[in-house]
Amino acid sequence: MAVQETTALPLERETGRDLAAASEGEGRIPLSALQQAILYLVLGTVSILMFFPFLWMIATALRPAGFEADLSLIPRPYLAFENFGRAWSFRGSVFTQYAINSVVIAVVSTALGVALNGLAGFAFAKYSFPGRNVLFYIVLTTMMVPFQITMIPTYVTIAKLGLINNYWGVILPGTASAFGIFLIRQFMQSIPDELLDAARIDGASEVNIFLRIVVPLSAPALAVLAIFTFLWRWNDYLLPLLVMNRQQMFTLPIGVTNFIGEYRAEWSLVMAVSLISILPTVGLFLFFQRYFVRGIAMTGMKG
Amino acid sequence: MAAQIAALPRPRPRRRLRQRDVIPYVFILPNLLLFAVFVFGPMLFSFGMSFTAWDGLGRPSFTGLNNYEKLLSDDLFLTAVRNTLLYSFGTVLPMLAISLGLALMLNSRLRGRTFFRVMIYLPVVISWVAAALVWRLIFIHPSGLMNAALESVGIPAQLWTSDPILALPAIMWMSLWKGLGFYTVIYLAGLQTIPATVYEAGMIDGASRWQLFWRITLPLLRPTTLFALIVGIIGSFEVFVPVYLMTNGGPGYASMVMVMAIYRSAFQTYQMGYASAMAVILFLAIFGVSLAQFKLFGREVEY
Amino acid sequence: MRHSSRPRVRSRRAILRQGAGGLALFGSLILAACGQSPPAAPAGAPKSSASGAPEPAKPAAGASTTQGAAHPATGGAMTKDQVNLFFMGHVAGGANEQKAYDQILEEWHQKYPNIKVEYQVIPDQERIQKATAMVAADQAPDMWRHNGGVIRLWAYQGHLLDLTDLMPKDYQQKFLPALMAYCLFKGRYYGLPHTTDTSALFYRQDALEAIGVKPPKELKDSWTFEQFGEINNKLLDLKKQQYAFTHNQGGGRWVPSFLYSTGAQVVTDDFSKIAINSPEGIKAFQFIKDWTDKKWAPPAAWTTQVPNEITDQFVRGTASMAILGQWNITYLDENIKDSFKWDVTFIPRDKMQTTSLGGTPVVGWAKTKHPKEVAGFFEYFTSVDKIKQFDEMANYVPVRSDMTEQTLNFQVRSDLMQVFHQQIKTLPQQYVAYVARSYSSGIGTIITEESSKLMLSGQSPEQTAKNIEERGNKYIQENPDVEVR
Repeated sequence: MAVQETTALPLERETGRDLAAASEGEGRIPLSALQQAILYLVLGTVSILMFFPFLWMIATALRPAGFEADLSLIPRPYLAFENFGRAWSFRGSVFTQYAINSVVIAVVSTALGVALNGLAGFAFAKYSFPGRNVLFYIVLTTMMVPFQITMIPTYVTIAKLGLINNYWGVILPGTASAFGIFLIRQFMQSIPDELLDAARIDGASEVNIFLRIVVPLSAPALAVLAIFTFLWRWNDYLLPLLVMNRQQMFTLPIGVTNFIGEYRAEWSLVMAVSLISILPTVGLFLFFQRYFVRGIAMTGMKG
Repeated sequence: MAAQIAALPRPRPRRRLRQRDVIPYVFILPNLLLFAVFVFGPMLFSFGMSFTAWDGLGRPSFTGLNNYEKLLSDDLFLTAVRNTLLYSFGTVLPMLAISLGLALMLNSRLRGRTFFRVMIYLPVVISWVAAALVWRLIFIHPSGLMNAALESVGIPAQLWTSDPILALPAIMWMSLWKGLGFYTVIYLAGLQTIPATVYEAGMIDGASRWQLFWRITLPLLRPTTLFALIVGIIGSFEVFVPVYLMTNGGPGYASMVMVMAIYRSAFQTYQMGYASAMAVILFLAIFGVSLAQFKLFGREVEY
Repeated sequence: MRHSSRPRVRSRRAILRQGAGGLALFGSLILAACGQSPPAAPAGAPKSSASGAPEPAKPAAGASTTQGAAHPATGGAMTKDQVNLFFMGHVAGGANEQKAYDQILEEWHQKYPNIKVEYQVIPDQERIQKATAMVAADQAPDMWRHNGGVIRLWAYQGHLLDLTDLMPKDYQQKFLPALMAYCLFKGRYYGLPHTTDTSALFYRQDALEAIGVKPPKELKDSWTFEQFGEINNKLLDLKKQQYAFTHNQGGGRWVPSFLYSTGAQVVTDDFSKIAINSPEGIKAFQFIKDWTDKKWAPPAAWTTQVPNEITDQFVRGTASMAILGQWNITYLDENIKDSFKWDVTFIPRDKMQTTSLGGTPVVGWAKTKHPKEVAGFFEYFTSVDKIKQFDEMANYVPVRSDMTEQTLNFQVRSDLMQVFHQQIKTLPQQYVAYVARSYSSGIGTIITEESSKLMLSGQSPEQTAKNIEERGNKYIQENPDVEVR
């Protein structure tokens, strides 16, 4: 690392309050009132810019049938909350089934992906073994070919494995992720080797080192990976569309296209489902984003 | 007897050392297997197809370097290359700079920062279909939101996605909106890897906030920045969905980008071999740029 | 090492791990419970029942019985075993069309409960990609809705079921020759038309009344290009709506509607070269360029991507008239309601009246295990009764030549369909023959791109014609039509 970890400060047992302060990193420096005001102004403006299109999404979702050409921000003549119900109850309970499928695929993919890519990222970050750099570059090359061109051979492979119309046909192809491995590797590089060596001297196995030391220390990175993996899988459209052949295996993004015909689209229903669909991803983000608090054991190490 | 025992070869080194040599391979093996089955096979197949003339479903016929020669004089392809580079430069650097700024702000001790974090992350979460729909509404000519805003300050209404010059910038603007939260989250996680002790040391030395940023934060963020840069550039070179949804490469092929051109050749004009050749060139470009980035900025992260 | 805080953190991670492990387990359980693909069709090739005397014709509910309509003549050849047919397609026009499918399939199942047809709706945009992938992996559906322009290409590659001997004798003659043309390859046919559509000129009655114009009700009276131009200018002078008309003609639809109207053609009669670079062709280019130059139509209409966008312009009153398809009628009816009265007239013409072509045919998979049942179903599906039922519910134009004189009872604005009925008869034969060529997708893409440059980048008509000729000829050279390969 460019900056020494060993500082002149002695190791301290930190109290609860100091822990909280330490976890703020740079925020340990209190902000003046002016600085706070500026921050609020900037963040507020950015938030408005980010959120404004959402107002249009919501407006579209609440537009009543038969008034679909209207462009006003507040839907006229009334707010059609029934669109949510209408969309969700399309042809019986299909959307509930779509949601279940999306959940299964996203959850299993995320769990599996974080585990496998976390392990691989750790291996690339903290071990030196023959062929490490070459293998890492090879892994990275998998990010460099767009899916549009490998789509059909990949599908044929999935079909040969008998995984068509099967959850695993969607889960497996995307589990190994160069993005994930790269992310984890970058973050884990800052874990001091001394920590791991000390554990080895104490007799811990490599797997134990991973689970007991590395995972807690890289909580932010693993949280990011979990958030993004879930998000991608949840919103993934093309792969599930290709792999799944039957209605009862379709996912939410495919389900949304029920309302987009070649000649006519019911955009209010599309938006209604899209809005419902973002709830799990936002929920997951809220759950994991508290890990954007520094791995507390990182503070005051050395010894 | 004792002499014979003494003459026996020494027992092998402790089991732990062997485990440490082997275990990294074990950790990366599942990923490599998945890559081999689902990614490398299709990749190599596609690369092979670049030397053929093939309509995607019939029999390919070997044509050697013919496709590559044609690409050199194909105005559509060259436009796509130019646009992809424009898109990349126009979105990646601003996106990284702005999201770093936002992450710093969101990392400070501000009340309600979780709310701001969610606001900035929201565009990332919604599906591209929903986002494209809303942005089409915003860009509608003559009476969309963007034009209404422009006309209120006296600028005439623009065609946006139907304008050969403005189509690509419109898409870039939309991508910026959608991607900012993504990199902000990455930077937020990255900021957590910087231990507080480092700031303490700096503060004790009397450094100002600004100096803390330049001398400590930014250098220590190098692994994160390298990651964001590489992933950002790869992603921008492979941009497809916003173009596909907003303009399909039009008007004419004014907003054509590489992967859109690949898709067009593969699925609209039935020239799969030609599309594969484009994919090979794209791959080489991404590979080269990424390699250059590693060489230039990657040194420091080798611990 | 001091780890005062660690137990707290670790326990959180431990819980997460356990949670993740539990969920993975949960997922696996679900997978085990759900099983893999749906039950496969029972083994055994379909046996044609030797004793198969066709059942007495039963009239379908509420439909008049014409010859061979109520049940397939091939009914005798279909098996009596339990068979599952997988039929993949899209719903182009919304809820009414979905209902039409439901009803038609239900009636089929009442007749042939042993032959289960499952219609799986997939998104329209990726329809052909999915079919391509499935065929490449040898897992194609038994039947699906295909694109007319590529039937012959796929037939040449051997992926489509040859229907010629499976259907009743001379069955192909029951369909409009223009539509059948793209199903025919080397004298045999590999698909059947099912839906077609066309566009016409919708207008606001108040706008045309205000400028004192009565639109023609007979095909022979349809407006010429010049008359159309004058009317547009007058409408603009009214300053009521911002544009004289909007349209769905971008993306190549204008080719049959306007290019062929001047006497121009896309390709020569022997299909070997591009023929668009002619004085007639340039005249057509100049005409559509006027739409933007003279501010008659919104420029953005040329590149619209999604359904409803153009229709909405007409509904909102952005334009006084609109060239739209008959499939828009339900949407217009529901959204315009009473705000203004609207009607439809013919597309303007130059030397001759022409119109555009759309719709999707149905095809079978060459490797289906149940060819006779597919044929039987197709006969039912494209029978006069079923086409009538489908078209009436979903607002389509009939594809059968023995239905051209029938008056269908469309559920919405039946009065308008007469114009479409008359227009579909003016489909230019050479145009359809061109579309049937396997290179037409590629040429179509080129035409779309160059015409967009004409309309939006200020490219001249002459340059546009020249570019299409150059690029198009190159494409034809490299991708000749399958008939000549």
